[in-house]
Amino acid sequence: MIDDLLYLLRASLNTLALSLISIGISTLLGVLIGVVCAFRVPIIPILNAIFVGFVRGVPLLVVIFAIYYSAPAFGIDIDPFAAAVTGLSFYFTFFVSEIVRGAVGAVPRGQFDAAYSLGLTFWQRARLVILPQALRSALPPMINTWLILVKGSAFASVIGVWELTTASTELAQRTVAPFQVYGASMLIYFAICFTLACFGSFAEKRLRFQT
Amino acid sequence: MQLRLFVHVVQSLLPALGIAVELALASTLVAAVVGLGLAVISQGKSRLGRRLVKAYVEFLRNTPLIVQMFFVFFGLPFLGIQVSPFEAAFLSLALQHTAFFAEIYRAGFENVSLKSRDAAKAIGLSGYDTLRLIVIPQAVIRMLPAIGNEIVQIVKDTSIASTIAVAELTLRARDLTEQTSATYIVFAALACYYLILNGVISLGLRFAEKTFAYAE
Repeated sequence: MIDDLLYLLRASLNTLALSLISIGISTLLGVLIGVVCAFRVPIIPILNAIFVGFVRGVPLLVVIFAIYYSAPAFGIDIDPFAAAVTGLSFYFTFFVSEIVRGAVGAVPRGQFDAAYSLGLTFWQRARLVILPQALRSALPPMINTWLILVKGSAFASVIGVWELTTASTELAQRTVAPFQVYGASMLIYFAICFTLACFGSFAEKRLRFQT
Repeated sequence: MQLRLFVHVVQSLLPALGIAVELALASTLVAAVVGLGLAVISQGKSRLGRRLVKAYVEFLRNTPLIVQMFFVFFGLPFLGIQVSPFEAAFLSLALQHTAFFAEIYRAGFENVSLKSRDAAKAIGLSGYDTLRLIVIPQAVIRMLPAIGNEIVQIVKDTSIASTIAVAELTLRARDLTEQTSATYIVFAALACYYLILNGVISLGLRFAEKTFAYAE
């Protein structure tokens, strides 16, 4: 009983690893793409819009399946964990980029002009003037996206990554107590996600009046 | 060759589209109605009711749907309730999205400003007329984008039913990938189905937004 619970907790460490790596990659790429889009660089906004439309319309499960089962057709040997990280990172990059694009767009135009007239370079303008203001309004929805990513990491189980959902299925078959096992697994997911959600609403309250 | 495969896949997936749409439609209807009930309770006077709704919404929002589906499909028989894969998928989709709909309604009604309620009172509208002419149109126009996203999300979530052997689009596509080495063609066709389905929903919602635009 205790052993089984420890087994689930150990698996949830893998869920956390999978989620954290994907959160890192997608946030980094998403912020980069979002900022570049907001600065009116040619072509990239169009590509961004296409991918945003794609991830909004296609289920994450399908994207993960497609990456894992299509990679060999292109001669790429991919292991389940890498496929899951790729799928999650790709999918959520474009949720983050859309949030950041909107947040940068909401920074008053005068700030851009003022930074420009001070003679700051593109990256100085982005890093010192625009991003600190934009990330304030972008952070709460971004944390929400991370929460959705953690829940989405459960899809890694369908391609055989050993994480919380896979471990729960194993354990449910072994102990023939699916009700308790999946119940426990939901509680662990809840503990992770609810912490993130609280963090998100805290950030929202803290950052609301300071822009 | 590849075009022929694409056409073949599109044709083979067509029967599964019906099942996916049926699943999405049934869950959307139930979730939209029950969600409204929960939203009314969460606006109501009973403190216990408000807390229970909040607990329900928070728990369902913070756990993955795929685990909920496993819980319903594998767990309920353990309690002596036999459910078919379709029923389990429908039940868990409806349960999860009831929570999301309740949140959307709650936010929508809270957003209608006190000013417009006061203004309605000042020109002598009754409580019922205020609700019918002022509060509901304003709330609906504000909720429509969120409701649109929600329905799209439900359609996307029907793909999870493939993990408990409901023969919807994603499961059929998985079967088809076993017949060919060009799996990416199968997934491209599958993605097209979801994109078109969700595109139609978005268009419908845009039309609805125009219809209610007078309230803004």
